[in-house]
Amino acid sequence: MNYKSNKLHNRKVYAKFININWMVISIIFLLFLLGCIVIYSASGGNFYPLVEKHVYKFIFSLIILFFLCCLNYEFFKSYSYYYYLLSIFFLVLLIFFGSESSGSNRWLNLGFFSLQPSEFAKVTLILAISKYYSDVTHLKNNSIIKLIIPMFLITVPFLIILNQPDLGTSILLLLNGISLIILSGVSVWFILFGLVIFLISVPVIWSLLFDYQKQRILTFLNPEGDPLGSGYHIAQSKIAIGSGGFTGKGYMKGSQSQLEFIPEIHTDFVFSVFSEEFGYLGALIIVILYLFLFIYGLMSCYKASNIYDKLTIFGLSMNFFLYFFINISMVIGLVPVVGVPLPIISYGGSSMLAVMISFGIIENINLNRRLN
Amino acid sequence: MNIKKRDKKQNINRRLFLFGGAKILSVIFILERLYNLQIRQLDKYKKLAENNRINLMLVLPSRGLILDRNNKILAENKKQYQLIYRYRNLEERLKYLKKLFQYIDLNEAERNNLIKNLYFKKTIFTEIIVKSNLSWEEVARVSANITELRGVFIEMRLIRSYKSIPASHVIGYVTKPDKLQNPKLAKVAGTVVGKTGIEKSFDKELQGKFGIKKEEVNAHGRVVNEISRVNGIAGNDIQLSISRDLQNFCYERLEENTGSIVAMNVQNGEVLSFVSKPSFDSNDFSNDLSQNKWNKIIKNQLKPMFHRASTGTYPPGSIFKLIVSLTALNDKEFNPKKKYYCNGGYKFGNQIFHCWKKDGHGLINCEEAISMSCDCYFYDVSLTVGIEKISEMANIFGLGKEYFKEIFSISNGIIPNKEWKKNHFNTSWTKSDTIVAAIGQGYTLTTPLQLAVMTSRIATEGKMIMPSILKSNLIKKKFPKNSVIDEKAYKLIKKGMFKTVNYAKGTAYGSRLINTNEYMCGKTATSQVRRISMAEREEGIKKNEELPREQRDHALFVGYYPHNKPIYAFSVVVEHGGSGSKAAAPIARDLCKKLAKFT
Repeated sequence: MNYKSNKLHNRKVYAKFININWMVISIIFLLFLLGCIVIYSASGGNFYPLVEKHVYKFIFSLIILFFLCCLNYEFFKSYSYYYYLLSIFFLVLLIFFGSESSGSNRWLNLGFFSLQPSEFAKVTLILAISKYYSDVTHLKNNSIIKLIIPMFLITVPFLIILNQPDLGTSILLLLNGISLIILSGVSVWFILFGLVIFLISVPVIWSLLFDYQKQRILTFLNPEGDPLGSGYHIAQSKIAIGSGGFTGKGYMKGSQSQLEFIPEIHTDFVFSVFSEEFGYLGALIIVILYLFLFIYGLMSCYKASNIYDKLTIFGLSMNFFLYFFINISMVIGLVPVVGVPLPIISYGGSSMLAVMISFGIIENINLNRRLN
Repeated sequence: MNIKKRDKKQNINRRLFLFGGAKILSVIFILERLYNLQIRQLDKYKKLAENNRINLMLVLPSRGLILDRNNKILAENKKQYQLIYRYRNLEERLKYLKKLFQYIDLNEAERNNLIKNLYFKKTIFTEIIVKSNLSWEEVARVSANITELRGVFIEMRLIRSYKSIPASHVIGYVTKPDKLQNPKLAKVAGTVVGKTGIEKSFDKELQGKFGIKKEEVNAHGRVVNEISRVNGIAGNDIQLSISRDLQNFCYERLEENTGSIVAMNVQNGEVLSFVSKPSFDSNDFSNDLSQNKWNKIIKNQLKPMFHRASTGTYPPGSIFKLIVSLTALNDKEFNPKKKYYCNGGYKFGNQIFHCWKKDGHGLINCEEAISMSCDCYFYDVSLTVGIEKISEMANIFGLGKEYFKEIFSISNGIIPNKEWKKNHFNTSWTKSDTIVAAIGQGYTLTTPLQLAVMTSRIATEGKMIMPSILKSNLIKKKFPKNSVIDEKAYKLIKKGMFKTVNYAKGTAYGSRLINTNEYMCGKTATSQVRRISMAEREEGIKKNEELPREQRDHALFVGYYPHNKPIYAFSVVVEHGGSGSKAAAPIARDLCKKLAKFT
């Protein structure tokens, strides 16, 4: 019996593995390759250390993705709240043991690598909210409890992350949570009410922001006001992208990137480098690759059989979409510079791992549906 | 229950479509924005990127040299090594600076100043000049340890270097261009413009043409590589007529006195010596002049920056008698041979005008009156010719005229006449004014340069010589000759000047040249700077030595050399030096000795 179930389990794992949506894995791999190419250029033609590290991080994240695909479906749903609590625990831990870098305390040093718990909090928040809504299907959509508990779930990590301070991640988390609440079917009137509350609280939030964050928002609203200060980065990034033209200036020949006019070229502004060197054509390829993944998320969500699955898939793919949308809007000057990486392409382990975990969970749910 | 769930799912799906639609619209929106940036506005951003990348730099041409008549250098460009420290890291900036201090010589105050300076700088990329003139040892020490000194650079630059303090007034000096007067040049680091003297008036020639360097720079302004370079054209050298050696000689010969010596070549008008003492060091201005040094120069009572030779004005004293005699000799009724009796005083109305010789000169004619510098003789003559004719004659001989107006700061001096007095004092001219003017006192003021020009015109018997400060290629230059004055008049005047020096009764006999066939001719003057009151005259005039310095007489001497075929004319002014014959004439004699060997 034991042996039999074990064997059955093994067969199941094998079946899951070969049924993974390899199309999606290929697109992720392509994005990763483009990431390597652009980080190589941004490092001035050096493979070591950034490209090499990027490769290691990707391989590690890919293994995690495969591992999550093959896990038992119940593994996520049953323990959703615990993952949430665990990530809150890490966020609190960060307050005491985090390592500070450039005025912000967002890294947890684990010896061999540092993690950014806020990236994982976004994932676990989605799981927790989805779990909550799948458990309260008996409640009416206009029940106030359906709004208040998820709002509480969102507020705790939001405030901790905002306090790190990390405006970008906290806003992403907030948008994610709210979009989930909207999707869950909460009454439209609540949503409008929430919007009004938000508008009223804008001045309060403003007073809580740090000076550099206020500065960034002000700079965004009036970039010409400080062309050599924080507005400088937006302006230079736009120049880089704009001067790329249709086919770009050629690989490793982007003057804006190579001559250090753009900041953070390996992480937040990686898209500027790519667009300068490969032009509109290159940018189009990247956007189309991402578009495939968005459609994959939407289709998966549509096909999902129960509410937990639907909400989880939606939340995770929404998170992925927001990364992309905010990052690109940021580098072309549509939103303030808030420090959001371009998923998979940007150098940086935590966001890569969080995205791969997301795809792992989505694929796990898909496989569970298809194989049953 | 089941139905409810299905409802819920449908509700979710409906909203999912809305979200999905929004996502796709967002992607399209982003593609549109990118299209707008990369395709529609390509030209604008291309230009911006190019402007970012390319830095046009002006290449400084080397400033032209200033040479003396024998090609000896008066002003040149010297290589100077500057120590520059650029820091990147705010925390570590002081560490490397302190390390750097081991290798250079700076005193405690300078070090503290630098540290304080650096500490309060907030920007990340800044550079400071640690020391602007490194010695060779320092350059060697720093370069040997350059690897452990991060952010430290040694830059070579050219600075102006001057070789002759006695010529400082002529050459002038350079400073950084003023932002208001010279906004274009002020933007180019390292440029200098002339502030005074030749450096200022010939600035355009000396400056040369800027070259242009196209460089690729990164975001921090550091040069990545040079794309192209058009070399500038070095400034033209300027050759002056003055002689560095003669300038030095005259400066030294004035010893502790202040004053001026102007010597010129009467054949072509070249100014050979244009000395004003005391002088200053133009080099002080090349490296940023400290407030302390500047104050010292400004507060110096002897006014070292003041160019006495062209701006200083002095009563010409007895030298003016030459002009008065020329005026008289031009009058047909005047008989120069007629003897006049000088008894030491000249009575005019109820005033007595004294001769400098208390007991009088006795019976003298014009020639003797010049050589013995009798005052009474000229009091008498001046009244017969009148001030109008005298001032006209003075103008003909170059007094009251402007020279080098475009080159140096100058003053006109004053040659008074009736109109002048009316304009300035609104009173009419009196005969006693004429009497005082006859001996070059009163309102009359002249500059040493004007006196030298006057002398050269007398020496050449009326050639309208104009002085020049640039070396001319002509040994002899043609000057127009004025035909107003009779040749005989010159002969007489020159004889008087010859006797002044070479006759036993002459005022400058003590300063005659001995053992030579070529003699100096000249005229002494002792010009009063104070009024001698009647009371003092009765008690006995105070001797110069008894007076405070600023009340002592100026000692003047003008002359030419050699006597028979004049080549050089000169004027010597010793401020508050006492009598012309004792203080100025010996200097003139030594100058002639020097000029005898001059080439």
